[in-house]
Amino acid sequence: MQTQRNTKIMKTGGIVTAVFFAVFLLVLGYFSFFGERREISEAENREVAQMPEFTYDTWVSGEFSEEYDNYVADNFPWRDDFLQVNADINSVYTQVSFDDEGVWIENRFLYKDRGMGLYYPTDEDLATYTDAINYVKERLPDTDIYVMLIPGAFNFYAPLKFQDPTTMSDKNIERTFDKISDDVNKVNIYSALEDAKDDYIYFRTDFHWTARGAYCAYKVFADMAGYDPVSLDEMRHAIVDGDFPGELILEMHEPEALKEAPDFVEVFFPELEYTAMMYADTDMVDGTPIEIVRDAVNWWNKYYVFNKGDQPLIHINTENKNGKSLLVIKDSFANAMTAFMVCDYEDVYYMDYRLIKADIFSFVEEHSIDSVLFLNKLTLDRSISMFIHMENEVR
Amino acid sequence: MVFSSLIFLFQFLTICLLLYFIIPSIKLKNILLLVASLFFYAWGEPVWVTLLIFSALLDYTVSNLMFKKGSPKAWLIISVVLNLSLLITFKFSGFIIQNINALTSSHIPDPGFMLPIGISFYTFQTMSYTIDVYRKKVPPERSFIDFITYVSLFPQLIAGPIVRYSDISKELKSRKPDILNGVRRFIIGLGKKVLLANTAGALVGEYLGRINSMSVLSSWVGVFFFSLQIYFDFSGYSDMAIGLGKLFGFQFLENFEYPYISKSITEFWRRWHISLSSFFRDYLYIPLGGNRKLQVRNMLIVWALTGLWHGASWNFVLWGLYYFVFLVIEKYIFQRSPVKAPAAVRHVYTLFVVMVGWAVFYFTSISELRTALSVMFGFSGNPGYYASDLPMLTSHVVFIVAAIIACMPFSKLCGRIFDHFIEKSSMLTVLATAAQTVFLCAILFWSTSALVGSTFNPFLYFRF
Repeated sequence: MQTQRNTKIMKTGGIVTAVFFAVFLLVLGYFSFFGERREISEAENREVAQMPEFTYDTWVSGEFSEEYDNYVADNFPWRDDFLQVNADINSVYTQVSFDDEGVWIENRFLYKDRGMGLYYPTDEDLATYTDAINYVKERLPDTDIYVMLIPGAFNFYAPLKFQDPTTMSDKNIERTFDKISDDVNKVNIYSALEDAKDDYIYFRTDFHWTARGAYCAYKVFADMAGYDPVSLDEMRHAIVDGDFPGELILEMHEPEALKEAPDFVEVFFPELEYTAMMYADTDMVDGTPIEIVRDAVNWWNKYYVFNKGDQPLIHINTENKNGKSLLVIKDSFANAMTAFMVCDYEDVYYMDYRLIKADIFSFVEEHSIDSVLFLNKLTLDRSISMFIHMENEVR
Repeated sequence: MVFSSLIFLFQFLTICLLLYFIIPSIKLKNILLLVASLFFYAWGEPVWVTLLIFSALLDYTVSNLMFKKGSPKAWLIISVVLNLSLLITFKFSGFIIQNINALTSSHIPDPGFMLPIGISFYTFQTMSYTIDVYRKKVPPERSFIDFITYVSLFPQLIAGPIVRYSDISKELKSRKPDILNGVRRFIIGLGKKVLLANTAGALVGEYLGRINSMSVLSSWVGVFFFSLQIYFDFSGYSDMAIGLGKLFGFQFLENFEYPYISKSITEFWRRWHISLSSFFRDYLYIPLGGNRKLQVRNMLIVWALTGLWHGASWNFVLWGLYYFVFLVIEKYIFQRSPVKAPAAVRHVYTLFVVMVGWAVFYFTSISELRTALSVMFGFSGNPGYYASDLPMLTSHVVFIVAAIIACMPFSKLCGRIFDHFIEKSSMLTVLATAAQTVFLCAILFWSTSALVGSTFNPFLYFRF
């Protein structure tokens, strides 16, 4: 009798689970098909994927299904709430902190009122990156090739107990430089940044460095390239209007410590005449004039005062008629350095390897470039190798 | 399409289940399952779905002609040769050509075939069916719709278990869904995949991605995480498959039986990917002679091929042969020894062998594998541990504890305790049932949050 009753109770439990399952699938399923669609996600600060166009080609290539997956994910009902729930649960589940000495959130580190990025390459990234740089030197034996690797703020500011020797930026810079040919100029900026770490060289709410951080690195580069760096005192200086609540706030699911203490942006202006144009490709026709540094930007992401964000290609021609030209193959960290770089060259080209297809070898030849600087985050993005080997595709 | 995705759960499966329970007749239900399965497959592989159809058509024709025209053996050979040719062409041609090129210094171009999803599973299934028909274990299936429904059945199409026709032939004609157990099993599998395997996977990348400079301790931690990832990934997928099978009325055989509690390698392989080991046992090992003649040779062939089945790379062959060695040692030394080591020692030995095995499995390049093993065994000169190893490990302690519990037959133990008390108190039953219900609903909700969370993609350069 008792057993029968208990079996009934257990069956009821099973029915409740099955009903929850059915209702959960039906409700979320219904709204994933017929729910409200939005164009912009405030929580993620980006455009939401739209319903892709179905054609035979997009179907066969798998493009349609991939884009449709994104469309469903982006328009998933109560998406922002689910994201928040996941972040909250994760903070207990995978990122337990036993004291107030810091916590990992979405692969970024939060310590007091500072968010930090930690960049390090995997073994494979490192091998791919260094092979690519060595290949460039082989192909351009008469051009000065420079490599500058940018560490995140983590190793400078996170408590010692979290510092893993295998992810330490100084060790990884050395490891990478060891694999790069000695004919390449290796610009090691680690100790310069470390010496200046008490200054405002990294944002606290954004993973980028500040103009002052970029200046530290620029000085090391100028020393190596054999010229006197411009002095900050010689440059006009301004503070950009308004707070800068950086990207880390969003990426780390809006921790209060960061939200309450936004950054500010300081800019320096080169004291020389120049013209700067941006281009979509290396043909360099139909350029648009661009300001490489501004003291105001009408948007929360104040890092855009530098180069107006990332551009495929910027050409800056200055009044320095010294015939010196520099090509910078860069990611977003380079943007904060432009104002300093232009002080010493007649022509500076900023090429964002993520946004342009280029045959850099022909480009160097056509524009008689005498120095090429690879300025990259220490993650050593593997796609830079694809970019370098793109020459045949572009032709 | 994969089970652990929003589109599968909330669009494909929702519609599929809805229609399935509305449709009255079994024939129409089978047609629905067939259409759904082909759609499921074609979602990611629109072109290669033709291979699946070809393989099904081939074995359907062969099996139906086998005892009507010509010699049954000739038909069997045609099926085996064609199925294996499909597998070799699409899975191994690149590997074979690379090796020929390396050995003969020739430059034969790699045809560069993409590996069609699930080909290793469905070619084995159709082959096993034809062999069973040849052995007269099952009659040939007369309905092509039912046969291709069996081959393409989406719950087991992509990652097994390898379901034999003989196991579900009756259910193709008549079956009853087991909704309560199906839902429970599916949710458990989803949780294993999304909450445990994916978390372990992220940690594996963190650790094993930079094995060169790792400490000895961290290299083992990395392999430990990979051991968790591969188990939860695979067994989670099998659980989902079995759960979905139950929802549609099919009873698939178990594929994993808590392999990490094994006390010998022999036992491990009785508990790990059971449908694959039993396939090799029934269709290769026994026909080769099994235990009766040339047992060691038979084992060698079976384990080299088991390794190769997992991937077209030498490390997988090595992985298979590695198990061959331990199985032979166990068979001829351990099992004949009059003294038995204590259970704890046998358990540690098994886990050690299995973990080293997973390192061999993980590093597909032999030079990387050599580096990894030299770090793990302290020959690389890397330090034993770094001061930061511990905080890194302790920050994942909740996950590690949850994962270890999930590797053990904890629910079975609970069940036993529960059965003991169930006779005595309704109150306890109510409490335990409520706890289980809340747990399962929470897992479903949390897994969904994690799936949404995995698509979290804030954009840095937008609106400029």
